[in-house]
Amino acid sequence: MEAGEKINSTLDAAASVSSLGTHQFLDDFALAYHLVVAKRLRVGPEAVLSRARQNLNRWLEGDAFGSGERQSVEEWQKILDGSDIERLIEIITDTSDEGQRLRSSSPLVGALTPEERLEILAACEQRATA
Amino acid sequence: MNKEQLLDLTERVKLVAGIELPVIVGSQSLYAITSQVPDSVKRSVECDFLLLAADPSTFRAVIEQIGFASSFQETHGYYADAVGLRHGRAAGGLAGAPRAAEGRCREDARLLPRSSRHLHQQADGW
Repeated sequence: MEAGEKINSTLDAAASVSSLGTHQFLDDFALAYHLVVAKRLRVGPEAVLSRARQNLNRWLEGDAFGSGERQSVEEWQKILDGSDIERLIEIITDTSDEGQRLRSSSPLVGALTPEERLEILAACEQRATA
Repeated sequence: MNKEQLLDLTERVKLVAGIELPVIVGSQSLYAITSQVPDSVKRSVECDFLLLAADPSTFRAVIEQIGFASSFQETHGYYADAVGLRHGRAAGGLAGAPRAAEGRCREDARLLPRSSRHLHQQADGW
């Protein structure tokens, strides 16, 4: 067995593997969250979009975000300005790497209540450990 | 994320996960050796923290309190991802020269030699 394989094998044996601690789980959670947000957008888009814009404005306030950090915020501002609801839903539920990348900086957080968010998290955890 | 945000997040991970020395992995670990990070690192709003031998409740606490879509993220615009050892590994071992991480990584994640000088002993990056 090569040295690299031995190290990886040891890590596998020693690692306390929690399904919550994988990027797959975290990506699944983000997607599940946005699938619910998508339903909310179909029913009442104004409230969801208003909150998203408030989030973007808040993140840009003050000097916490420099020019590099602002890129993801400005990217989302363009998306919200330039997309109709169906296109926005397409973007936030896209399962490609690009979709995952955009969801990771999504301003649509807060569209659901904390309780709804925790329900989604619990459902994802149940699926991951089934 | 900038270094100030990263340090703030690191302090919160220490409180939430109850660990003294969080290990930052992935692209944000570049701050361990330089403040001049690429834009791709700055534009990322999340940071991976490696939790070794942590039980599911610790991972859950990080997600709930300072993770994706938390009220923390909504307020501040950035958040923590808690990951275990299965998140990524070095091809050919951890020691020696940097290696590209296997598995799925969001950014160009490389394992870099550990140095905590730039993080002022608050965290280790690797």
